[in-house]
Amino acid sequence: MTSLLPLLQIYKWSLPSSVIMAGVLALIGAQWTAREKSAQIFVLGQGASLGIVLGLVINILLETDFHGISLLIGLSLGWVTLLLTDLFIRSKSDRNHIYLTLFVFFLALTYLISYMTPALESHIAASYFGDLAVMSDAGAIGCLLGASLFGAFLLSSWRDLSLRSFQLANHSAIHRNWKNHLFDLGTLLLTTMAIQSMGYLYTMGSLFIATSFAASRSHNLKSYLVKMLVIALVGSGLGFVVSLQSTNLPTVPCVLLGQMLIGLLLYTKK
Amino acid sequence: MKSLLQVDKVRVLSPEGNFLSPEISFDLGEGEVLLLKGENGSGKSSFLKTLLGLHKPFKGTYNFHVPLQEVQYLPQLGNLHFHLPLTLQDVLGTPSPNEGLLKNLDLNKKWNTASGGERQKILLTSALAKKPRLLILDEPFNHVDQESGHILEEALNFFLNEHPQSSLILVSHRPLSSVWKNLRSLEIR
Repeated sequence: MTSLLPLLQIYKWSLPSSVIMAGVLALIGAQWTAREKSAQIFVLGQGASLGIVLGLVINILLETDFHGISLLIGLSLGWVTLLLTDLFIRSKSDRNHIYLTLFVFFLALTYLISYMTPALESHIAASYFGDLAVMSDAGAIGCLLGASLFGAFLLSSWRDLSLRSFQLANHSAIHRNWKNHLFDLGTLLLTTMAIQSMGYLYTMGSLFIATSFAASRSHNLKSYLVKMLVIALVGSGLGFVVSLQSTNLPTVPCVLLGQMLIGLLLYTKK
Repeated sequence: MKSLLQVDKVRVLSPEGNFLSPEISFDLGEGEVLLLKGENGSGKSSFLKTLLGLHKPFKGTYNFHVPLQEVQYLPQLGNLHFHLPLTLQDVLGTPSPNEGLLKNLDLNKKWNTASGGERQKILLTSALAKKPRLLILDEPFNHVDQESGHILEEALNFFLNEHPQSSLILVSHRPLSSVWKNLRSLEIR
């Protein structure tokens, strides 16, 4: 324990940032899953990843270190991905093959760019698998701020958003809703920020692990929300701290396994 | 009588441009009940979705003379298994004064385990609580036993009597059992 405290001091921003971000991503993932659009977010993540990699290429070419470029291109490509998926899936009975085609397209482009830019190799690995321990303080503080603000909005609008998801799944959403527009915008922003600072694997895992374990055994919306937050927050914190105990343990897999462990415990608890 | 909705030669199209419904025209006034009848596949549901902007390709014109916020729509009730563990109370929202439909309902029951009749009662109560000027119901008596269907019909009739400025468009294969004021039918074929 005495050796853990100095470590926690070092990770004073990345630890709370990744834990809070995991909780907020879990809330986002739950609503998109309820809308039967989880695959769309999967593709959105890949599109944003491609944008982030393109931003890195531009930084290398211009010999600059401006992370805002990556975030901006990541957001733009993520937005284009959402538009493309919405355009292509309209009136289609099976959407998954379109999502997978787009996913493979973005993945192929990402690989092509990284192959042509050898200096990107280490950045690509970080962009996909992430390492929370090497996150910059600026990135961690930005994510913590963004996740806290959007988390507050999600919690205060949880029932409204859930009913909107219900209407969308039931094909009966006929009224415009500003909260839903804000939710879409926040999803795009938070997902891109999380991928840029914490990696694709962490982001996708945090979006869907908690809701997968919490949905079936919850009695109502409130107990479901509490379970999801416990899985995401406690699981992430536990995984992060365990990974700090050994230099051989990478942070992201530990965080995701921590979420799965807590999810499993809650799932088996009657 | 003030017109709430004017439909002029609307014909629903598929994304490929094929016709999914015949040409439909009508003018719906305040307090009127319009019963849309027709065989399965005649395009009744697609027509309603077109009016509400849920289905895009169509020919013809239509105009709502009330804001869309004052329109409530209940689609055909499929066997929707919803991912989130909503209870009937969650779907209902704020308690409604229309207690009749909620009689003997366990509001803590999960949506996914509720029967068709229980689901329709909750959805209809929630829609009526918003006091819509125009209510659009697509097969509200499907998956509902005869007694529950009669209760739903009575609740609708009561609402329209209490709110004479509101109107109803109803798609139903089941013959109506109540006596309705200002009822007219439109056969779609």
